[in-house]
Amino acid sequence: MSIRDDWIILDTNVWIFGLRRIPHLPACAELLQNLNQLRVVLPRQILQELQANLVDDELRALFRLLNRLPIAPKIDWQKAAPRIVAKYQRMGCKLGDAVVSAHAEEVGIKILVTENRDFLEELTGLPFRRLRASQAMAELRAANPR
Amino acid sequence: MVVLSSARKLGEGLTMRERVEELARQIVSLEESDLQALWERVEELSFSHSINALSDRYRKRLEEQGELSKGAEKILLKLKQIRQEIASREYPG
Repeated sequence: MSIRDDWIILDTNVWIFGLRRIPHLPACAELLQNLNQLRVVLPRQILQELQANLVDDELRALFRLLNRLPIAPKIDWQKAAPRIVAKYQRMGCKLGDAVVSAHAEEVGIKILVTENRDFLEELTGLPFRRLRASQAMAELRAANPR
Repeated sequence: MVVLSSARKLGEGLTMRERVEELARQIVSLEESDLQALWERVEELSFSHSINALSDRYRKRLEEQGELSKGAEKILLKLKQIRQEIASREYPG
């Protein structure tokens, strides 16, 4: 199994850094360029965060792009179950991160790509891998030696 | 001007229309596997072009709002704040 075979969540920061083309995090933009090789899940919390950051036109353009992907992304507007959110809060997640983690568990996600240090460095015992965008790009290159 | 530019001779002395026709002929003569690879590559490049266009639009808006030069740490903090606000609204108490 490679990163191309697993359904993955790109955290909001990866979408936003990628669209902003933040100079010292070029892998975020690179990942967006390579979305056609990924199986992307967009859970409710991240959808709402994107709505908060993008204006309507930008959001529509993003969804038009997502609709062109060879593997249709999973758009999941379901609220995560409060008991699962609470479980992740007990594990040390802040409420918002607990919601993302609960979504990931419910959808069976194995990989969260994020630049959020709370996810990357602080939390242990989560049932999904946390990768920086640069690590995700490295795995993608390794899986696709073109 | 439009008529003049569309009729202008291109690199090999062909008009744009002739050039497109020539390209189309070359494409349909490809082997099926090459054709498939070509379509995939065209779609990749087209997707890349579109995501760059969206990024350009977003960056332009941020620039107009004086937000484009904000550092990654500040952006992360703002994103965390938005995350908490949304989650608190959805999961009160």
